[in-house]
Amino acid sequence: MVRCILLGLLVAGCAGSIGGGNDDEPGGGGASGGSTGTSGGTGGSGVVSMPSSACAKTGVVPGPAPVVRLTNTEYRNSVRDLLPRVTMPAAGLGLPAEVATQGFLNNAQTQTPSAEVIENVHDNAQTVARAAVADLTKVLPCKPASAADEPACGKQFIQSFGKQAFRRPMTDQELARYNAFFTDAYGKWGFPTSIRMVIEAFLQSPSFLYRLEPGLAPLTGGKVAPLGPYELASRLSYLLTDTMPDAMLMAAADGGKLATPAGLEAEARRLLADARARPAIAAFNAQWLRFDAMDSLVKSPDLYPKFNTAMAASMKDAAVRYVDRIFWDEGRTVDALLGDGHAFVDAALAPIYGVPAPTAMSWVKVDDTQRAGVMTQAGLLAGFAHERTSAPVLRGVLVLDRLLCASPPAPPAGVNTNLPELGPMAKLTTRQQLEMSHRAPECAACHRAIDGVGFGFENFDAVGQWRTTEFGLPVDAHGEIVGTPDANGTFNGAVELARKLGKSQSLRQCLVRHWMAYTFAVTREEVDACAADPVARALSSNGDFREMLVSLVKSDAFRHRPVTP
Amino acid sequence: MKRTLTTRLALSRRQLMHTLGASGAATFLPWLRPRNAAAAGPPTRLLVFWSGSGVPRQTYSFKAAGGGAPTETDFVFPDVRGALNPIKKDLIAFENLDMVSATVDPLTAANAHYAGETHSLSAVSRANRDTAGGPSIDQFVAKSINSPSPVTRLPSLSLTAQVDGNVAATKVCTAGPGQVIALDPSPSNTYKRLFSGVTLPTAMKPAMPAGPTDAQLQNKSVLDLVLADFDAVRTKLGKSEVTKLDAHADAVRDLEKRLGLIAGQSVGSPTAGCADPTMSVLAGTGNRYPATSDLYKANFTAMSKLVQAAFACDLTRVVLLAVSEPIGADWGYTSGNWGTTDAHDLIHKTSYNQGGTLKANADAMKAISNLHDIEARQFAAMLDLLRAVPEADGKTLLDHTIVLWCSQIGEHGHALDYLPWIMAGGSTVGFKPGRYLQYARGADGKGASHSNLFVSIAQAMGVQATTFGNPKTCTGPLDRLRV
Repeated sequence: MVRCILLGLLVAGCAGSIGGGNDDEPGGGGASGGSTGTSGGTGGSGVVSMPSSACAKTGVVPGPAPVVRLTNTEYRNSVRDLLPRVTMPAAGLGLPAEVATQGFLNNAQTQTPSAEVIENVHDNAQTVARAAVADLTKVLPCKPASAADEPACGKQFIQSFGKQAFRRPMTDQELARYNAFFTDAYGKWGFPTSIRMVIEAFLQSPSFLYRLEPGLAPLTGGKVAPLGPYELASRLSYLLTDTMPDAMLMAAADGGKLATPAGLEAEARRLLADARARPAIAAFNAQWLRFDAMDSLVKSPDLYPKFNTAMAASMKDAAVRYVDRIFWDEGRTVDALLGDGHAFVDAALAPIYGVPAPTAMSWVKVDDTQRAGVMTQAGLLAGFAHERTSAPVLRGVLVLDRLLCASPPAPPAGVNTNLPELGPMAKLTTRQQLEMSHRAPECAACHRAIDGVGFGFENFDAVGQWRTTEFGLPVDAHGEIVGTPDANGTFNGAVELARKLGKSQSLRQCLVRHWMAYTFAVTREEVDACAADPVARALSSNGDFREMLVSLVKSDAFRHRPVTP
Repeated sequence: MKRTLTTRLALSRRQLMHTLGASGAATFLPWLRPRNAAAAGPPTRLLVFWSGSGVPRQTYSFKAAGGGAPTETDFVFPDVRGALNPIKKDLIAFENLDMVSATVDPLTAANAHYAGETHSLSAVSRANRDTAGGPSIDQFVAKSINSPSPVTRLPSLSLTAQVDGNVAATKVCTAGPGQVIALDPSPSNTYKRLFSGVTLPTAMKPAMPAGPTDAQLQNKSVLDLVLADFDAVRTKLGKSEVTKLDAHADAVRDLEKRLGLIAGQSVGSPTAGCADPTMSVLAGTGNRYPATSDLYKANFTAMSKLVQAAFACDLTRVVLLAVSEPIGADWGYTSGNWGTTDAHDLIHKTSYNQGGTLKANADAMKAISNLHDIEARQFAAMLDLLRAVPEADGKTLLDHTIVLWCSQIGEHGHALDYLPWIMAGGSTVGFKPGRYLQYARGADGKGASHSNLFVSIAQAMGVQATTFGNPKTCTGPLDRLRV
């Protein structure tokens, strides 16, 4: 694949100094996070907008098109939708856990067809196929009146089931191969067994397990090919609903309606109105915003005696619901995501937000002089904190990496990444400790950017509760954004920080870049700036998340692939 | 069925290219050497026992038994690993072993832990900021010894002994550049993979002695159709896409063989000590949150017994077992002790030279010593399990298992030099135990390359490798390691 030039993407170390970063970066290996004081950071430029003239000259910019295996969720949903009347095993369909790259679980390169994956797919195929043929009337499109009708019914089944499983009509060769297979099996083992074997094969076939996108004939120049209707249908369906195309989408592909941006748009809008889109979008948002940091939360019982696993579960549930509601029902814009003054609150979370305890998890107005948007949801603040203290470094990196695509590099080897040891009487605030620690020049260059953002959340303790003092000393939540194209400047506290971020085009560019990385199952560095540009413009001009997705689906990048040797 | 040298070397072009592809940047031509001894006797296994933090360097100096400078054969483990002294005759320890490959990686890691995690087992420059650029040693060996045909029911096991089941951030096990294999945290799933459907010991006898069952014939027929699908789609795709699909198809072919669906193929030759550990091995195990001491111990014990059984029954010959840090309460850590934010913070603050502000605090260091003592006892317990299994040649499973205890970082401050790694077993393939191998630190400040250690291991496993990982930081087998 020809990798397009990356424009405006920060990967470099910090200006004027050695690289930075930290043990604590979200995505780090340590489940418990690390030391608060680490050196690292970014002084870089974040994502910048492409001048439209530069992109206009590049012609059709295809998106990356690595071969992608269905994610665990996509696979399970697809099996379910392929056999809607079959009861799936109670234990679920086993698959090994997925490993995240840049927070996302669908990275094509990371996906490995390990022995365990192949075993699971095999075992699942056998289990599901057995369940399916327990009552053939639930899977067959025909009802053989006698044995004489069975061969024809079997072939009819192959054609219809195969089109669903492969998300495209089977080729003549495939039909011939499957029909011959069926005929042989039918002759040896009879009708139900041969149908079972056909299902087992479909569920292990590459055309079921992978999204294969050979594309149509290349455009002039030979380097770019449009995707075919069924390839587009699958891209669209898996992106927006985490499952295979439904009957209407397949009909649109059959009818050639996906060949135009308008046709894709119509289907995209229909799918976005489908109930299945909500969990699919929620999955993206949870990976984008690193909600996994809320898994297995631990807080010190002496400081936070009310914190327990139930509260941790409420925190994550509330954060998921919050982003879902903002995306679909309230605001539906970056402005709302960063600036909205509500939270989902239940009895466990009410004390943290300082509101009366509702009887059930409810959408509640919170003090909007203290909190604004997703970054001040208690769960996220608790997830990016330590057991006993806030973690300005973690929180700063979260914002830089996930919202501004400017992730700091790791600290150079040999640099002291620990806070200074303080006597028990010499209490300093977390901020004061970090400022002392990061004064050293090898730390300062990067930490100016990291801490400058992270300090903005210092009014929130390790469980995300508002505070104005720490160890009896006043909390200072002043900060400064540096190194971005359009969000630089000082602020006081999380609300002002959110307001600055909410206005940033860099943030919108970054969000689009993450969506496209997720769409194409690549890292965000592999997303071409010109491919992302029109989508980011749509997000900027209209602001609605759903319009951004419609724009993404209509984009050249979505509809084309590079021609690979 | 015993396979001949000819069949062992009959690598198809695709298999050969595949294997080469998996070796990343290394100039590497692996194939199985004729293993006359192995063919006649018990096979050699590889256990990579991987843990997180290393030990503080100031606690890790060896002495001779009577004090003074240690020699190759006269040495005493420092207190932090004192639990190993009673079995030091079975061990090999190192001085000045470094992750040299990490020092030349042009790509900065996403964080200080991934700096080590991406190099500890792959020894090659990263594919991206948080993923290794080539196969980990366990996967490299597993692929090599299972080519062209699987030699065991499972090519390898990639396991972790931990509690909460979250493994999405652990990337130590890689099949190739950027290709991560998730570690399995579940003892029950591991048990199922190893023993479900296996009737011991007959399953390890030549496949289909009395002719295939209908179920076997049907399954083979299905998998053959699946493979025909793979062959058909590969003609429509580009080279890099085909590579990924070929890897999948090869794994399906291996599955056919591992399931005993190919006539004349057999996998595994169990020891006399082979036994199904039964579901009782799973007592008290699970992946739950919050972590408790009992759960942690049960999971470690179960995983170590499953490794023992897997090797004894020759269900696999390669295991990576990543062992997470013991629960703080078990080694005397309570949140907030000594002004730390959490156990991780304490570990970093007891570092030798990277901000080890608590390295002189006797109480803190006592806790750290307890932590590492627990790890040493876990390792010793694993070795005990291997030693307990007799082999047909009068030796034990431990003699036939190369065991490497290694770590993500070398020291509490993320340093990747002075690796406190320890080896055991493998005496039948030249790893003469009871030695402390001291290497020189060069003028460039670098010690012996851990890539070299991996070459020694690969060769002892029967893989003709002359280099592993980054060829620029590998000069061949590690000097004096095998005799």
